[in-house]
Amino acid sequence: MVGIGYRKDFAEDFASNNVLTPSFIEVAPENWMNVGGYYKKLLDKALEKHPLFAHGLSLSVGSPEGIDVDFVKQIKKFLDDTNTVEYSEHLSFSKCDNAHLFDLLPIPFTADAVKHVAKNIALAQDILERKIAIEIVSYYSPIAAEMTELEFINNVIKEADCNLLLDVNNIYVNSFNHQYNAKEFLANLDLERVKYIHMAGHTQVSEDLIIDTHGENIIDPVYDLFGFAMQQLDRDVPVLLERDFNIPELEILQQEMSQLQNIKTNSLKHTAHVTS
Amino acid sequence: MLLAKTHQHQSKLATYCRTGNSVTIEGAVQKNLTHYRRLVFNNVLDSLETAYPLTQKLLDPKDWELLVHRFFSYYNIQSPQIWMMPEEFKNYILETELILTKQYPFLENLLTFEWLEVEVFMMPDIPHHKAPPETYVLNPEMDMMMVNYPVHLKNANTITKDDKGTYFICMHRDPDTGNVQFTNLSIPFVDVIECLSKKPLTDIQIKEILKKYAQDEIIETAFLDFINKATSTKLIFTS
Repeated sequence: MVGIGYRKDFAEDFASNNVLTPSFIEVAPENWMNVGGYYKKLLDKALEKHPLFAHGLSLSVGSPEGIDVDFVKQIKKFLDDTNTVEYSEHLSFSKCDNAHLFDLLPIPFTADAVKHVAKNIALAQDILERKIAIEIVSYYSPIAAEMTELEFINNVIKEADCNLLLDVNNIYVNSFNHQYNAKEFLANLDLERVKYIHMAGHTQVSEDLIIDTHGENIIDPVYDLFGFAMQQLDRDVPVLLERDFNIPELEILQQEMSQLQNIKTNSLKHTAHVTS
Repeated sequence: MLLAKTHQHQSKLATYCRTGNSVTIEGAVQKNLTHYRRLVFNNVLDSLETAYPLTQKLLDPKDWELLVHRFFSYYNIQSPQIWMMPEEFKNYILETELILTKQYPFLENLLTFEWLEVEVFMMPDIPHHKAPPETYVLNPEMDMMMVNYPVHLKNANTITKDDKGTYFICMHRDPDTGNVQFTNLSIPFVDVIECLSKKPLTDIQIKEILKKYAQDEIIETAFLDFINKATSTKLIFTS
């Protein structure tokens, strides 16, 4: 399965032609909960043909003050109402000291943060009555790290007993920004927990920094890392193409999705797990 | 339990993103932190500019950016949904930015007008009922507001104290395109809309309402003008 991040920018074209043929679509619940109108109607129409994956933005599992239980209950209603297949969120914080910031800030890689974040994820999973796939986020600076990023991620997902969203582009971005071997990093993750993969483009802003913009085409080294990830996983996992800005013609997006499917198929051709 | 020092590191980063005031965080790559401030602030700025294009245009660009900066620095945003954040910006200005609201007495009306457009655009769908024979029904996806300045009729830069009065605005969502349209209403037609919000009305019933406000010869023309405009914009529907 290869899906697409559903965006208002192409919602009309998506409804009126068959250029894009994703196996599923993904939205952020925050942008669609308790709303109506033209774009909601288009989304409802899209959901008649495509299963939904939901990718949250504001759960903020890394918030020092914990998660917002009322908000999680609203998320649950959205997931139930839309028959969402998979719900994912970010290993980051976007709320601190009682204020939302609407961006994904890095959590300090510390032992106490592992416990705290795992507790937040576990509470959200209890309320949602489902496991969350937690995404490894791209980051541009560590904050008071006392352990490696890899240790932090593996410890959190084990302690929270949650799933993992493998954002291959983020791993590439982080390996570039923080100078480590992306394949080695990936191979040492708890890959059994991977339930979902994200793929996207990025922007290099200086000779030693890449920003995760979702505003460019996927580059070859990231495709290469994706092929490596599929070989390591050795099983079929849903893959999403994310494109939030600078959105090209739908034909280009479809080509990227086809390329992802081809890489997946080739990587897994020795198994019988592939579905289109 | 999260240690106080870990919380403090997170607070420092969050505060830096909100204020842009330089900060030293243990183990951080200082030059890269600036990207967080840029990304976070631009995200908020973009959302507010989308919600309040008229207010943004009214203010000097530097003043606008400083206003957003003060809002984001000092106000704790409560909504986890970014599209709802501009309502908090409006409330922040009306409660806190007293110099600005004194400088522009119509600012409250302007902000409320612009926010109402967002609210009507985003409001949950409401079932439309078919008009019974020979009646008119109101588009349920609508809202009304009263203002003291004609923020819906005049460029904000040209509004003066002389424009002060009582104006009524009806905002509704086109069920086919989703576009929001507004209608300037006089008091008799506010009465008509309020009655239509309770039940479908016939020509005769609408004219009966208007009779409270005007003579017969004026009513006929006003009635036809209103019906033509309101049906063409889909504020009301007929069978």
